[in-house]
Amino acid sequence: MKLNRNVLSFYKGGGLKKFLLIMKLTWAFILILNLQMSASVWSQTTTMSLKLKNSTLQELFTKIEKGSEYRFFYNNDEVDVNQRISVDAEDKTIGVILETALKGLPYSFKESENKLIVIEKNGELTNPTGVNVQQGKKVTGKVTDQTGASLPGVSVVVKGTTTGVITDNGGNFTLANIPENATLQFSFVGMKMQEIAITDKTTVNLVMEDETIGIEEVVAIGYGVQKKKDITGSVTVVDVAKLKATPASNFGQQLQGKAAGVTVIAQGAPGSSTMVRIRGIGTVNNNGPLYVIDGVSTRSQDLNSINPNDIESIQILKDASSASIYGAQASNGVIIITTKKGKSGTPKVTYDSYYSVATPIQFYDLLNSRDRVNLEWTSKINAGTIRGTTTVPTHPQFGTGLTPTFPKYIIPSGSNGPFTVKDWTESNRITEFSEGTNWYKKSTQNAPTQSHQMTVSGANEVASYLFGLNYFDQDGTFLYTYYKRYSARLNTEFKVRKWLRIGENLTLTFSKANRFTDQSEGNVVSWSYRMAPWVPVYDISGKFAGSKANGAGNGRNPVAELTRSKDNYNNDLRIFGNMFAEADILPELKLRTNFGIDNTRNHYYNMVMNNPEFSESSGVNQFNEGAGFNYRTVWTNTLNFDKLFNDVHRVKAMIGSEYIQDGVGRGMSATRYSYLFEDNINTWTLSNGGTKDMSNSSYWNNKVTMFGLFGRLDYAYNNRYLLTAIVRRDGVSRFSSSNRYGVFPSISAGWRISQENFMKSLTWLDDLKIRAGYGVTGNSEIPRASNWATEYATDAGSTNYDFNGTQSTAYTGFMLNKFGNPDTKWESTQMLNVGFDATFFKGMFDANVEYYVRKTSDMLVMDNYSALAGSGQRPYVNLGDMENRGWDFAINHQHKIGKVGYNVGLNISTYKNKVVKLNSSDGTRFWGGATRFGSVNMTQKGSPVAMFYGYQILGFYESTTDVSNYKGASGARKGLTVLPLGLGTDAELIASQWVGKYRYQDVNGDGKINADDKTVIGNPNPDFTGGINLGLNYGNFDLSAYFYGSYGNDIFNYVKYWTDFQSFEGNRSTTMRDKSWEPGKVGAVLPILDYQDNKSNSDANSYYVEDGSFLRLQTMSLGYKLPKNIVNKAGFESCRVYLQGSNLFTLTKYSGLDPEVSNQDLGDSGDLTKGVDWGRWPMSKQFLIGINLVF
Amino acid sequence: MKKILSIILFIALIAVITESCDKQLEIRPQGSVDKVTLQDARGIELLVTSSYASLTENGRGATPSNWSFGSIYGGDANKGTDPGDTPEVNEFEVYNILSNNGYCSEKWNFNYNGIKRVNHTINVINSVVGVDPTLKTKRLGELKFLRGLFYFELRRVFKMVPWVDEVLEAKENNPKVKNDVEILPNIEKDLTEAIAALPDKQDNIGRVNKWAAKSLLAKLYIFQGKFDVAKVLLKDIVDNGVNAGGVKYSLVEKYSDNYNISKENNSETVFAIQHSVDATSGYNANPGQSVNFPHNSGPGGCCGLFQPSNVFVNSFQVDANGLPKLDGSYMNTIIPGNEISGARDVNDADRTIPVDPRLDHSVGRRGIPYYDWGLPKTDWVRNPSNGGNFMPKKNVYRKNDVYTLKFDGWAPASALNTDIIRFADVILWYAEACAETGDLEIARNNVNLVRARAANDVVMFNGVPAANYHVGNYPASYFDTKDNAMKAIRFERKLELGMEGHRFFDLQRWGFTVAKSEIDFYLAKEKVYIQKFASASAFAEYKMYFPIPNGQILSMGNAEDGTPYLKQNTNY
Repeated sequence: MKLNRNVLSFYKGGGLKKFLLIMKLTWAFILILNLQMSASVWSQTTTMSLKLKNSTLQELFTKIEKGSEYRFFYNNDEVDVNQRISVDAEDKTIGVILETALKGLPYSFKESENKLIVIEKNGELTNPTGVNVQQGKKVTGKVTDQTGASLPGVSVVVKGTTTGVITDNGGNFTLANIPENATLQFSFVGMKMQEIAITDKTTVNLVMEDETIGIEEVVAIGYGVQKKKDITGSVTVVDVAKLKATPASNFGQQLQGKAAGVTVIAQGAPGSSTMVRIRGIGTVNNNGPLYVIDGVSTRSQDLNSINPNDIESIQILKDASSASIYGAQASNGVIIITTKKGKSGTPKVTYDSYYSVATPIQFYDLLNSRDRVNLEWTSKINAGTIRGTTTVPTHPQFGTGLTPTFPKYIIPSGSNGPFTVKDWTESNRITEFSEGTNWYKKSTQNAPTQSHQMTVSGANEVASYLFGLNYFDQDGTFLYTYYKRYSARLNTEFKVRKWLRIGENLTLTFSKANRFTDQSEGNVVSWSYRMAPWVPVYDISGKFAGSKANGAGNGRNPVAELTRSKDNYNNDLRIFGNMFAEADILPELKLRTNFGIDNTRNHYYNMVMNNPEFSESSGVNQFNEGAGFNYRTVWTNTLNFDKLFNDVHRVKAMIGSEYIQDGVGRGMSATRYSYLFEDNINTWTLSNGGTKDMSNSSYWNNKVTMFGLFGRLDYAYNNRYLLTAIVRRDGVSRFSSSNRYGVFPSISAGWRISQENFMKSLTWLDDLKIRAGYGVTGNSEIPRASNWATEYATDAGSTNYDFNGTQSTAYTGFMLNKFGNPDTKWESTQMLNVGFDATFFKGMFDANVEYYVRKTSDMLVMDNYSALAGSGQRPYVNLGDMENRGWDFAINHQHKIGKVGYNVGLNISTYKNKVVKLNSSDGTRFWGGATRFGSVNMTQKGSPVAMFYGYQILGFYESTTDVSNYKGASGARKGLTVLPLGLGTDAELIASQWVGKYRYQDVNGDGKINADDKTVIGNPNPDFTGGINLGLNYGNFDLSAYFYGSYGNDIFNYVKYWTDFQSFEGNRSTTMRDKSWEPGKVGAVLPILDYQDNKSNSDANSYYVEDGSFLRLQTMSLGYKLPKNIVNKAGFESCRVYLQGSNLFTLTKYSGLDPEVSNQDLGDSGDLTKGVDWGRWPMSKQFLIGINLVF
Repeated sequence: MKKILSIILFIALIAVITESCDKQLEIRPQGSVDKVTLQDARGIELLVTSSYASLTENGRGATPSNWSFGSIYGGDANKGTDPGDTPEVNEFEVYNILSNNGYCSEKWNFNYNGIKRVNHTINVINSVVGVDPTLKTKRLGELKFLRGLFYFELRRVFKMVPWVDEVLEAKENNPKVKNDVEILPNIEKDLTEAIAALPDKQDNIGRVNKWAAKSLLAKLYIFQGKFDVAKVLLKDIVDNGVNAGGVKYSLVEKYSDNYNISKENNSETVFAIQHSVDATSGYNANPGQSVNFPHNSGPGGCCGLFQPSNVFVNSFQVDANGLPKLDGSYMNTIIPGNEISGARDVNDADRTIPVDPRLDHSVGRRGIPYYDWGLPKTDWVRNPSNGGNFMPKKNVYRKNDVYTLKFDGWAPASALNTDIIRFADVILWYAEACAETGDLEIARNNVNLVRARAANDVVMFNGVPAANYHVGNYPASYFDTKDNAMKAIRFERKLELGMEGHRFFDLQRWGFTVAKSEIDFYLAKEKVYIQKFASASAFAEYKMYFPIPNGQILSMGNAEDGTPYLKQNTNY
């Protein structure tokens, strides 16, 4: 709010006091506005540094207005602003500066309410009398911001004069009696000053543009705000405008590649969860960050229930010195989200909408029918040759003989099925046979998405409000899948007294979805390669065909699966919000109480219909229905203190308390079988099901409570040396009363080195701050609500026994099902963070570099009891240590050359994870990533989490001599032939059968390949991940592109178990056809085609491991802002249309569908199942058209 | 002043909140009870029930039916299904088991889980006061039997295993013991104590009685080659034994009644795991066999594992006297089993070769009615190239059986009990103990008891026997020497107890020489028909026991002396 030092000339007729009274109303309004925007930073302690030599008073006022919230009022007739003054102030209050400056001048100042400083001539203030009235013209107009909202309080001044006015609540102004050729200057704090020549205009409407916000930006840091320049911890402030450039159902997806230190992995399924990790993997337990939305913390990682359109700002607390204010919940970092609030006087209506179409990406390279059958034949013939048996290949569909006989029809013999021999006529020939069925193509579709967002917002002196509605409807790329979301938001705040503000933020999200989000061999992606290509989608009578066709294995027809499940769905409702009251007890003391609630409710049902075409059909349909609810409540009280002492010591302090309850809720589910009318959705009730085999269950969510007391102290000396100390004491019900409380302190310091005199000569440097912090945060997020207690429970399958041999009624039993441990205490994370922030070349560049060491000690791990302890769930104990070290690096450049503006941003995140200790026993291993041949992710002491573990392939046994020439290196078998996998003695070795098979590394050199030779064969943790953000604008056009990439991580491509080996009778890859070993063949990657080869795929080996690095053009969009005159004619304030492409290309060597592979287990301990690809729902290519409208 | 007042007020508020919130941090576990709640007679019964229930909580590798450890490893059957399905079993069928084999660790975990529950329950019983001592004694007897059973299984499978009893259980949640002590004496002690504590007739038919404990002890003696003591004990059981319901032990009239859900807990039942499928859950059913069903349109419609071998099927061929071909000549002309061109669903060749009628109760084959499911269809066999042409039968339920279901709509389960010991087994042990100690005639009579019963029960098709069935009693000439008698007894065990998980464990106790010759014979014959056996490893002595699970060796780590708690068996 840069304004009106000149306006008094306009008020010659009235008294200053009267003027001020009028102005107060305006100011009161503006104040509320500012509260919303930046959560209020002014106080009576505003300080700044100023150096003026022989400047004018006017220059001084301008400088102060720029650097603070203060505005000056004076009468031109009384105050000569061209008087020369000198000031040299370092981090002094405005008052001190003014006193110094006005010393010796006949003026005094006095601070009025609301940051107005009135400059008066010493002695009695004389009312201004008479104006130099000119006869001139009258100009009226309206000033708005870029979104079209009216801007009140804009200073409109006739250039070169002191004549001016400020805009009213509607953004309107009227200037009378101004010269014909005048030029008007429009200025407003935070916006670019503009000049408009009037010429012959009588109306001037103007859109003010935002000035790039620099280091003066105020950000949320947890129970309060801080100026960005004063932050000493590691806080990433996300540019929300850049997030919005990627339309997505949740902001997690948008966050990908936008913030250094933050790794995001998205999934392709509509409305599916997104995994966010901050600075590596700190624990073997839950690594999801804490989300704090409008002051209410939640552990829910369901980002879809937060409408991304509602988000005003996102701050990410990455290190302990910033996050420890959240103590016990902060060890995985904190993401602070502030939602939008009403901003301006007149109600503003905006409408944002887009429509997009997603197209499925390329599928695996699989074989057609003929190649598939030929491969089967080759494999069977080879199997006989290798073993010296001359078996003639046989197959139920393709006959017996040295070559397969391709039938005209596929006979689903044995099915109770759809047709008989009599139906077989030439016209019913299954024409798709020779090429076969492309199951993926048959089960996917081009999928539209639409999003509509309508927001009404506004504010006046006593209240601000924002009301938003969103409808999001995304179809999945697999048939019949979708995600729909309806959400509403209402944020209001009331200033009920001068000293008391009361408000609320509330959002309600309802979603309905039918899609699969799991990674499993039983999802539709997997069925698309597990089905034999020679089976058609439909049989000759139009019914679904499937693996009932003899010899087709046990794949399920994915089209049938999708079609039959089209009416199944999940419903979710989330009510999230808070109420708060904030009172100014004293000018420097503010009390705030905040009560938040996170209530989720879900309901689902699904009918698993009969699938008679499936070879392993259960022959009975099944209906599942369930519902549940959960409450989390958070009650927070804080007391904030802020004062500047002796002009140089700035002290901010905060103390508070927080009480949290979570897991308050229950759920129930039931299953019934044998529905008579499965196609009729109206019969889908539990009571319509058969009574046989029914099951019912209900459960507690397991309540957890937490209570914390915390304090924060910020001290700044002379605006140059910054120190922040935090301490929090948290208690949690998970631990026994003796270990319930933990204390989490942190300290951080910063040095704004650019403020030092010796740095002043570096004119290119705008600002440089170096900072370091150390702190401790805690974690108690384990899946056990009452870890301290030893529990006994009943569970029909484990505890009940049919003593009377009734076949149907079992006696109830109880067992020790959970061991407790009263000694378990907090897991704590110590983190050291050093870094610098710099801006240079007048804001053209800014850079941020940080290095951190994050050590988790007393890590909560499930105690590694051996099997001798029985099957009771192990308690969590403090046995592990974990370490992460990494760099976060971000640099941005922005510039404008002529009319072309551009910006380039690059951010890179690295972490090196290491398990320092996992249990009392060094040999302890944690397993994850279950496959048909066991777990492939191994976590053990000394290496990063979730390493791939298996046999290292050295090559192939090219000949029998090759077999015998591979010698043991040590021990009893030194110099003797290394016995291939599974053999214990030389007598068992038949060398000829190993030719063309993988030669595994004898890791321990004992001359035998066995389980002891399994070793680390890959690392799912990337060397770095990063994003590149590019922007370009010219006139009304803007163009942006976002790249996201990951480098150096491996993926375990488990899909190859089905497609590349002799596993099941589904389809096979072209790799298997083209690159299987043959004598003398160069470039083979797979063993010889041997139908009976059950060694090459019997366990994890290095063939499965692939480089998962990728660079993806995530979005590219082109926007066009329609010219104002056209838009206004149509009755709108502003209008922007844009075109966008998502996921346009991905550079990768990975052979699976999508290198962006998340954890197999999306639950709590999921990071131990990292990087295993089971055939996940791939990201699709998307084309989009969108519009932003302001009424 | 106002300022100070405000601060004091705020601090007071915080103090109040702190106090009240601290209480809120004390939360009882939801959904469970604590140990104190179980310190009475009802608590004892609840814990004893769950000790028994650990028997039903078995996976495919753990199952005491031992279809992989006993039957497949012994040559009764191969894995069946597609080559890549359940790869753990591939290692069993070709005698190439790795120390990280999932079934081995399942087996280990299952038995120790049972032992943990037994030990824990014993400790609770011993600590509870004011409960009828007769009840306590009885239940302790049952628990000792169960512990003996679990340890005996571990001993047979892994040889050297750590012993954890109730004393150690009370001290350590995570007991660490070396596997360096022979545990057979401990098992014998448990079973002896069980016999002393148990009644003849039990409260429920599904509980262990004195005679079941005696039978298990007899099995332990036989396992150790203590035929003298075994013979005395076995005579007592044969003469005086009653089942838990008090009914005198005898062979049921029809052989197939042993595999019939509606005929369970009969006079032949010595100890059986009670499976049940009630209206609300199937999880006390026999999950360990859930994949061992014919494929596709066949019964259960599942996975097609556990396919009887050609050698096993043809062992049922008989000569003109209805006696088995003990010289192995049954593999000279074999029952083809596969479809004869032109004939759908019926295979005449299969039906004309004379066989022991127990074949068609043990094996599903084409042309022979499969219970009430009708004639097997071609798609009941999933992948003949990989598994041959035969189907399992003893573990499969009848179409009209009520107590069956599918787990999660997939693999089938039924209330069919798993026999741990049935009386025919006891009779054959008795015969074996007699033969070993020179009582050849008693041995012959007992074998013939079993054979005579077999003759009573043939599979019928359209009112006539479905195949050429013939079974005769052994004349004295077959039992003229101990060696000949043993040959006949051993073969009889193969036929009578086939596909019931006993075969390998019989070979094991008969010694490496016998085991090797039988397994070598099996592999040599079987590889002619199924290629994968051509790559089977030669049977070696170390393969008489299975590898100790690698994961458990790592998990238990090293003892204070620096050596691992668990020592791996040689050559694994």
